[in-house]
Amino acid sequence: MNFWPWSGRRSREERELDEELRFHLEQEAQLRMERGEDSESARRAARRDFGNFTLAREVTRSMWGGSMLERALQDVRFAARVLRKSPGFTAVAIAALALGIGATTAAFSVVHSVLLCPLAFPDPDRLVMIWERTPQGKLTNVVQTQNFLDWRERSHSFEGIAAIWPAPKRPSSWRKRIGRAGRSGGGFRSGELQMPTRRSQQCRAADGTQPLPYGWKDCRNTPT
Amino acid sequence: MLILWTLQWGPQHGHGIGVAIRANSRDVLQVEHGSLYPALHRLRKQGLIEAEWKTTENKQRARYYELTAKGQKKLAAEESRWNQMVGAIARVMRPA
Repeated sequence: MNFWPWSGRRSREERELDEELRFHLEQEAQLRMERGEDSESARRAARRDFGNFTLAREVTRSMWGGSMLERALQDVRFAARVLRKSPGFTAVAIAALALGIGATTAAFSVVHSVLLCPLAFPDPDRLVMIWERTPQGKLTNVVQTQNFLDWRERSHSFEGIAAIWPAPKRPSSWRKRIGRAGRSGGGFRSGELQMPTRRSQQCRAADGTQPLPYGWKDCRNTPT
Repeated sequence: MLILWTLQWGPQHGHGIGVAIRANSRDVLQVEHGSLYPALHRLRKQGLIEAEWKTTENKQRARYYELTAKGQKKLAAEESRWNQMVGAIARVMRPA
């Protein structure tokens, strides 16, 4: 790693430290030989007195400190070496991360579109859905067109009622009446309410002019 | 503190400091010489001592350490603290 500006200085420091420590051992051996020990045992004794040579060098080096970036780079290099050494572990770790991130993203996509994203209408909290039940009360019945027209004409509980045919995959199609509870008059006129379809790929507001910033799948008014 | 104390008589290299500490303590303090160098380099980083490569009497290259002004001040402070501590311990051990 010679292209880092500090590595030159650092390697010089390392050389100097090594030289310093070697000098120390030589001096100590010299001293002992002058006292009459033979050179081999003098050298051994010098080493023994010194203690752990490598540890001393390591600890001394740590005294120099070094920048955060340098230490971070060391960590990154070490991590890369370890990962390269055990490809099996690396593969498992990457797979686990990928699955985790993917699952989280998928779950959030659902939460986002179902819970967080507002409906593609003004005042979505005043929007209701009305439907018919089959005589058994279990299934949602198909609404006769005439029934729907009657509802629209005679009901005073809603500002407007619109029908939707939202499910291209179900040819028999549900009909749903969309309206707004509360005071009558103003706001949207039923029939102009444009429902988002999968084909249009775009949510539109009730006035049919303002595309919403969300993609079609962000809107939960397509019944599923 | 022992290192600073040893250096007040003039610049010395690492081995000399180790020998001096050992000799002056009548061999009681057997400092592992290996632990001397981390301490030296720490003191240098703190600016209490300075290092310089010089040639010894035997024409060998060695790094000599020398007290800085800051180091001298630090030594004086440490010494007085040490005296206080010794005095306090002595009073506890031998109450008058």
